[in-house]
Amino acid sequence: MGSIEEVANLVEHGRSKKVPAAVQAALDEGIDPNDILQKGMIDTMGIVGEKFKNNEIFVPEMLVAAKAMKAGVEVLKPHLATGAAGKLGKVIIATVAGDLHDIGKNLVAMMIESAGFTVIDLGVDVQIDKIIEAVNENPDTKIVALSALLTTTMPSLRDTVAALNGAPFRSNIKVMVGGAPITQEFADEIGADGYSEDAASAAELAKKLVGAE
Amino acid sequence: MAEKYRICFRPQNKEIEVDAGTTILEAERMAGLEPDAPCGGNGKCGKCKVDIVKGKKTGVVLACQTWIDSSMTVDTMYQEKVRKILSDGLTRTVPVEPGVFPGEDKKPGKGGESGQGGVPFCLMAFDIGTTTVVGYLLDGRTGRTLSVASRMNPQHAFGADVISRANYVLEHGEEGGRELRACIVAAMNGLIREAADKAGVSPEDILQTAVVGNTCMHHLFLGISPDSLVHAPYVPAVRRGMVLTAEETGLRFGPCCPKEEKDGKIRSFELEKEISANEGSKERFLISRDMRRAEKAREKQGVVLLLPNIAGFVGADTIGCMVSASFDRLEELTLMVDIGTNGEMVLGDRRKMLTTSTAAGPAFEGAKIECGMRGADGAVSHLRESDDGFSLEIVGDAKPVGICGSGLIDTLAFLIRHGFINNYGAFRDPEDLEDPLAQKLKNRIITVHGQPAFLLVSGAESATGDDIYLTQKDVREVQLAKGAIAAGIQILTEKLGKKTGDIRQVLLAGAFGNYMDSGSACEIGMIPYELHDRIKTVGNAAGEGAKLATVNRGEFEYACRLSEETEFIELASESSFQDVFVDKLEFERAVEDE
Repeated sequence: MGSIEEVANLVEHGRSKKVPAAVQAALDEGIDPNDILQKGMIDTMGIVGEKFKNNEIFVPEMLVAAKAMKAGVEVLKPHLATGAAGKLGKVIIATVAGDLHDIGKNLVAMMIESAGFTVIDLGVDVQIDKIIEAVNENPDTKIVALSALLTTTMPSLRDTVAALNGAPFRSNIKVMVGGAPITQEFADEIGADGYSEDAASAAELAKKLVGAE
Repeated sequence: MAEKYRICFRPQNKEIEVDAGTTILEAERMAGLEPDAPCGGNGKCGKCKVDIVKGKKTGVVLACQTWIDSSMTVDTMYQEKVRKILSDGLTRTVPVEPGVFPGEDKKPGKGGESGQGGVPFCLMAFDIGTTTVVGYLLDGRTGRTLSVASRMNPQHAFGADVISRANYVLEHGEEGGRELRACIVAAMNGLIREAADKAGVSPEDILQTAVVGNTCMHHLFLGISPDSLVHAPYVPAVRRGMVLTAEETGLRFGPCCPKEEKDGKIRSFELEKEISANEGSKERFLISRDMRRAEKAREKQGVVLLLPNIAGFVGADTIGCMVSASFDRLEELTLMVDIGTNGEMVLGDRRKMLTTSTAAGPAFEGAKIECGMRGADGAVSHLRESDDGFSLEIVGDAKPVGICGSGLIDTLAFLIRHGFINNYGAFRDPEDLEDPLAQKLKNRIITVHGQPAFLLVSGAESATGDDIYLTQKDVREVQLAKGAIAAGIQILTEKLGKKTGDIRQVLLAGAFGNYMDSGSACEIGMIPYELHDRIKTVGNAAGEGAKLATVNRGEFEYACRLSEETEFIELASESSFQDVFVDKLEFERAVEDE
């Protein structure tokens, strides 16, 4: 018998192989797909993020949970009415030029997405003009989230934020930054609107920046 | 009184008068030669063969088993001509043709105009590791290792890993680069003196040295900016092999080497200009202008060979490993892995070779592990199972202080084997343990920071008085490290269109690979378990490759060819990497929990 609790439990524990069947069972049971998404997955990822912040779980568990949710969303997608996901607006996310690291960035993207945003992921090693272009193409963008994982690419993050700060659309967007070597001080220094230490707090920060919390 | 005979040794042209009944081997020693007789002259090893070219009997004989009964002329180079033994290294022997004498390649073994056969000389090989630098001093005529010297890489003061050192240079500009270069060059010069002293030779006797190291160490040694290494797409500024003079590199050896440091400074040479001037040339390796001049003038300059790099994080050290394994001649599909902060790996055979580097992080060096430490005295280095539990092996037979990488892997393998940890890496409830040994040891599951941990050594038995344990978070760190390596292996295998089971042999290179228990590495899934009975450790294969290159110029050229023929795969641009990585976090051999 399918249930939201079963989906939630499997997502939380990262059982990617079992999640699709559980989602299908819940759908067959006649449960509202939006509820499966919200209560079974989005809320669960919130719990996962909370546990991560409290040092109860660590990066590997976040990664497997995110992967499990992704597997579930694949099954759910055709059944979802548009609007349920992504109601908080658009977030453009990228790892800055010169940096090829994406696991942390992907995790942040996943958490932000499950917090209710639409995420446009530009990938890794993204040049400044590509980011500007993406914002211009998506004038309803609320947040630009940037990542740099190496101390050696911090200058690149600085340049990217400087370019955004000089762009005409700056007042319409918020800029948030993160990555292993980044600190709140550095974020303030380069003129970003927000910094978060990990994927879970990134999702909360995003909500705060758009006034949803 | 025994009769006396005159024996003339060629090509050294040494003559000596000996009593009848003396063996040729003894005569060689009396003449001041250094014949090779590893078996001690018992006629067993066959390595002392000489060719009697004039005498009562002529022909090839064992020097230790041939008693002199007439005057004779003996060619001692016979052995070198046929087998020319090299380093006691892992696999190969090559002819001794270091390429330091003009025309030597035409008359192998006999030397050219400078008379290689007559004058003893030495060769060196260096492996510049991020942590340790090793120098090998070799006999120039036999290629045998005479002495080995090593020390910590003093660049450690500027950061423990390559990224922080590269960052130091980027932040401090040219001055920073000079500092790091001076620091490694000084250490290498110290090693040259130390190795020469140990072998009773002088740095002036050393004619050539070959150098390997990871790409960052390679660049820092030459004073090349590491900028391109730490920014995508992470490519080396110089990939090709290089032939330089000792003076250009700041190393002090060779007949013309300056005796003392002039005010401690090393000549700065403008390598980057040299490189850009050579850009686009099709030569396999770059010969600096100084070297060309030296060659023209037949000056006895010390020669420095830099083996080529492949990518920003796959350097000349990996090429060294490939040279020592003759990777492109392997018939069977082979995986070679060197585990460190970055796990470099090569997969392939004579048909095709792929390489990549994967960020394993410092967990196997004991960093980020709560009770972790380096493999120094007091480190729990191995865990062995016994009837009533387990016993620990401690480095230096000291009281335990912490756990090093190999101990970490053994402990985790033990916990998996006995069902303490499930396939997702979580500690299981002590009440759920079914395994008899696990039940016996369930008191060792303790609580640390509100989470389960496995107690290895209680405070009463440790050197510090503190418990030594493995926490849930430590297990998570190992998952990330082993997942990265396993994912790298998986992706290379897929790229070759192969399956894990197609891999016929696994070569573990490097200190850590040598030290860890490969069975445990397979049990935790760092290396696919199905390959557990196909693993060979090959020791410091990078250093062996450097030795081969310094002893035989053809091997150096071979190294340059390997660099061109090996395809680099950037995992970060593989779209499947994250999925594979997350899959590989799992412990496949552990109890599956619902």
